[in-house]
Amino acid sequence: MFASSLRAAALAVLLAVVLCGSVSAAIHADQAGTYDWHKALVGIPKFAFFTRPVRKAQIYVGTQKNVIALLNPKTGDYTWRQVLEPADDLKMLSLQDQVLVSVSGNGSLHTRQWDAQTGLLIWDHEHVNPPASTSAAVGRVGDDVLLVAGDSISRLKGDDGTPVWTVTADSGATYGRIILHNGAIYVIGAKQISNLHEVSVLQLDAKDGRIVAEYQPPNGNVKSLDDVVFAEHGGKAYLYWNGAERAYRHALGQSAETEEVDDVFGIKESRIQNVYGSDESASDLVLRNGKRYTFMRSSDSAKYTFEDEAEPTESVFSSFKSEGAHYISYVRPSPSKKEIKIDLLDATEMKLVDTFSVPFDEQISGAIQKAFLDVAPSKDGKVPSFRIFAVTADGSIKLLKAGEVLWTREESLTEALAAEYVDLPERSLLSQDHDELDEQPQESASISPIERFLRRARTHVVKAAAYPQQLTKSIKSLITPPESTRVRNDLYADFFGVRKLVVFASKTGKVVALDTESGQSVWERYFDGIQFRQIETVRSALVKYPPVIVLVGQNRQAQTVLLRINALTGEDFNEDGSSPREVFPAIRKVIKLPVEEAAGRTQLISLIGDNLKVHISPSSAAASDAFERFAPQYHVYLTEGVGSSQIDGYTTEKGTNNKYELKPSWKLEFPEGEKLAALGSPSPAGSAVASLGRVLGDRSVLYKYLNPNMLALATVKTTGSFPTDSDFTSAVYTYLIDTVTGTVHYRSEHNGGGNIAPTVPSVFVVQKDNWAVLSYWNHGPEAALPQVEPPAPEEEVVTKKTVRKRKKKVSTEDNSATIPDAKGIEIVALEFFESSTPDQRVESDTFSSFQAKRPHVIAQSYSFPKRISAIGTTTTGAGITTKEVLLGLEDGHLYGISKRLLDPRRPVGAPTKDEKEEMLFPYRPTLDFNPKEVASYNLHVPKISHILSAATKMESTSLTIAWGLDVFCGRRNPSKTFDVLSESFNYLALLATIAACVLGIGFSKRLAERKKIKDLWR
Amino acid sequence: MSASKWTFNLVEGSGKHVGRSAKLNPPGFSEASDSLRPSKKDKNAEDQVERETQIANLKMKKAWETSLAPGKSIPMNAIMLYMSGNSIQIFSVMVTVMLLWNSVKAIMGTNTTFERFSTKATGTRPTGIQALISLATDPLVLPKLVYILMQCGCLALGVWKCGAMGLLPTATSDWLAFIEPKKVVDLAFGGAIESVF
Repeated sequence: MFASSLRAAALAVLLAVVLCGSVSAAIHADQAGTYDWHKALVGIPKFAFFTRPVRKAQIYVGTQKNVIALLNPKTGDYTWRQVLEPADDLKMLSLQDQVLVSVSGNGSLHTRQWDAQTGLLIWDHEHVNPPASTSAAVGRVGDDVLLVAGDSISRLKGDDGTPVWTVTADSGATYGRIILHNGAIYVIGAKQISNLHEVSVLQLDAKDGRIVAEYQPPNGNVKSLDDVVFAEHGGKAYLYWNGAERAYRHALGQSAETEEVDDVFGIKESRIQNVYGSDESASDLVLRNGKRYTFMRSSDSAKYTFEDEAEPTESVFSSFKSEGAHYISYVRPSPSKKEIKIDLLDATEMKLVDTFSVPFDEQISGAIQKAFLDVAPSKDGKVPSFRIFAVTADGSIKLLKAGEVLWTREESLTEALAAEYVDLPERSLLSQDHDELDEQPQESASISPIERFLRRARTHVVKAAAYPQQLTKSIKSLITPPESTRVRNDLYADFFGVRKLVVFASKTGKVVALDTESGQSVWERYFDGIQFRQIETVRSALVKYPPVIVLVGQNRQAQTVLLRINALTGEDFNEDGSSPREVFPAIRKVIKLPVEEAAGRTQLISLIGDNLKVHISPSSAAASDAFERFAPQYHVYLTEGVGSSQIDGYTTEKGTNNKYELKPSWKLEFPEGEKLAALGSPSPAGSAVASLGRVLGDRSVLYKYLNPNMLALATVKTTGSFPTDSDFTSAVYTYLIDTVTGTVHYRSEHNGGGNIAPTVPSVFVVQKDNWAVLSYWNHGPEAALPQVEPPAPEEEVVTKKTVRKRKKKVSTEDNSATIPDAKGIEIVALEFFESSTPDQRVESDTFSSFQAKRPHVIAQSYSFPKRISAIGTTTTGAGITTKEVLLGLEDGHLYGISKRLLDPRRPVGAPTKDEKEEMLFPYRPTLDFNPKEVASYNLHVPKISHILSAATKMESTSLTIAWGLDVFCGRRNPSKTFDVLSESFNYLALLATIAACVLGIGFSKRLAERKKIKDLWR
Repeated sequence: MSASKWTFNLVEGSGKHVGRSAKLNPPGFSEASDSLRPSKKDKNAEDQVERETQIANLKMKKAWETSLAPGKSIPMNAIMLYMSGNSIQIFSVMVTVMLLWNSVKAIMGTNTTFERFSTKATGTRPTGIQALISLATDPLVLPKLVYILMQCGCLALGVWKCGAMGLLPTATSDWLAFIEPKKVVDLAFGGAIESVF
């Protein structure tokens, strides 16, 4: 009772402070970068050019994240980057004669020329009838740009991108390569015949685009067009490709000729090896015979055979040509796998410069997949210095030079699908006495009491010895501001709990743990061939035990792989005897259960198989015991994800041979045409909620409907495919579903709402405690569904009050009239209460979805001026601090909206006395963009797709990480830092005051005593 | 009345030597009229009883006056509390606290307040059970009770004021922090199936 009343008092004080704090909290200029960090990334390169236009080398990349960037080889930072829209897929990036041209689009097709030095757009050409094609190529004729995409070939003016001519080939081939040789234009494509592609050549007239010739050379079957290599030989242009058995070459312009490469060069069983050049001109030719590689010089057929052998999948060739210099590099791993070997060949003299080795841990980064060579011109016969820009299998990019790695960019973070915070262990928890506390009774009994006493005494002596130092340190830190200690090597929690690890797992198989204080990598792992999609913390840092995470991924055989990892070191975790790597075939869903197994104190993972069988990990007896106890209350709901039209609910039952399996218990099919657009995730049971109700102005209480099984989701119903279509209509429906029983507690229609475009998902749902926030794009009244659906039978009774408070909600009246005639993002806030009348509560100690009363749901909608790409919320330790809805904006910001603004209880019209007492803001239909609430201040953090928050030991502070392309980590204080003294707090003055008081008291006490004695003598 | 009453013999006794201990009446003081009042020297028993009754009556009267006095201040206090407003400020809180404090103090000090009206000697106070028994015979019980009632009235006024200021835990919201969250019986997990990507 005492504890709870103390808690109540503390809550009251905190609440008072929280509510009094103003809503906005921006940071000062000098605080930028102090409590946050930003990793500006570009993505995994799809296209790269390592060029040396003048004296300085430059790296241009076009990446999987649709970013075009110029990297500085010295530092690895980008000089500029251009981030294309998410739907604007980068199909081609071309750099020829320092003219940078990109081709991108998905549905549309844009050709853009960029200023290579500044990254500014010079012109942008949009194709009128974009061909449906994934490949594109760019060539240059004079100053003009030749563009090939699918079956369409156009010549665009070099100065503004206007088309000169456009021709369409009717050969049925898809073209994706342009070769200019001796004034002729050859367009290379592939014609699909069953699952093979036949090389197809088109010769064009440069002036008017007339098709001169169109033919398929014989034996032209290739896997894809990328396997066709264009190389010159003896002044002639040749196409080389690997056929099924032999390699062939074809001289362009002569239709019938195809030669076998074996015969031409006299190398038996030769295959064509890909060579990465610095631009798109004719490639160098490297032939492979088994594991031996031979370089063929194009001018005179001189050849050089490399001595070392290597597997073809592990060896990468790249060439460098500039101002007469010509070098070839041959990169392959050393047998020890701890370094790579680079052979540098001077191709003009046909002489091996040297074999270099670079330390390179293939365990961490995977094999090198692409390499681009740059050689600095050497003077007077010195060994030329070279650098290799390498893209590795894990998705990171590195710059290598002889003997060292100059820099690494962890671009795999751009492909991270999951991240998880790991709390660091407390330093004191690892001390001796905590170890003793954790001892098993039999272990304690085996040690004699004297020995135990001595052991304890020893610990205390050690602690006492360290105490004076600790004391002086803490006093010092009070007086002087703490020096920058952001980079630390010890993995212990700090005083405020803001230092954690955040583990990212990416599609490329890379797992990176970053320090949330500094943003530096603590450990890295690479798992070849596993696409990670989920991370679960199964054990947080406990006494003596390290935290354990489980990485969930899919291997190449489409099996689900579970990896148990010690979250502090990244090493495989197998201390409890269970296998660190488990493979399950055909798994539909991996769910962490809130149940611990007794032996290792790790939480259970349940896997739902295709046949609805339930597997448990770890597969120990303790785990199955724990699951047996949990199974009766375990329910599962599954959906096919976005685009699906139903949700299924299951219960767990013991099937035959004592195996658990799912039995269907309910099924929810959305009405005709509705497709799932966004799924919320309810706060788990027992998550921190400071107050179980909302206190109204008259001191009555609206009890929160805290149901961990209440799922908020949104569906979209559209007709017509694109918003510009005349028959386009769209509507968003919000559902609140109890996932145990399948009851639809609430459904509302947002007529006219939907996605911005089919390719741009813009419906988002976030859930926390007893509220949900939904955002969607409003297409306006003209996109509204013409007919009003009758309200669903489960529809909650719309009271007069709620109608007044809801701007746009299902009502039986004319719907289109209520749709705001403004296209833009709208945000809907929903809040659920146990009853519509204050002070009414279902009195019970337990909550069961089967007995639950229908919640009272209130909602309010607002328009928001920015496009949203991701949504999340803040989290704090006790849940006292006002929550904040975090939005990733398309502009490249992380933005926070206080929950007080997204409060469906905001009064419409002048607030009454009670509403004022409740400190509600009056309703306004718009949520203004407040620059002070931009968490990423002036940083450009584009393409945020995930937002993850964690509580710290400071109630006011929530740690937030947003990622997508960049990674931004910062702190959010939605109610200001009420529990932290300001940085400018004068500790010295405080200490001086205390000292002065103590002195004064002592002095006056003596005076008083003397006076007393004198009085007694009188 | 004889004329002698109005006759003063200022000469009488002037010639005599008056001792230091001798009573020197003030001019115009009549011995005769003084003798009408019961004097200590008067050992008449009847007089004694009469005199004590008289004193007791007087004390009772006084006691009643004292016991009713707080009641008279209630309207004044009410006005003061009304004037101080219902917002929580230092003045309104101070006034309320003073009122409550004074009432409680007064109730605690009831015996002290009424001690001077007691007819019994201070030293012979009964203790224990005797005190309870003697309570029934104590004539001061009624005034004391009324006095406490009056102070309770003041207290009620203060409590009412606290309530008006919202300081009393009368609303459900005041007990919200003590409510334990409900234990959830059934738990459902799930979401979108992770298909091959």
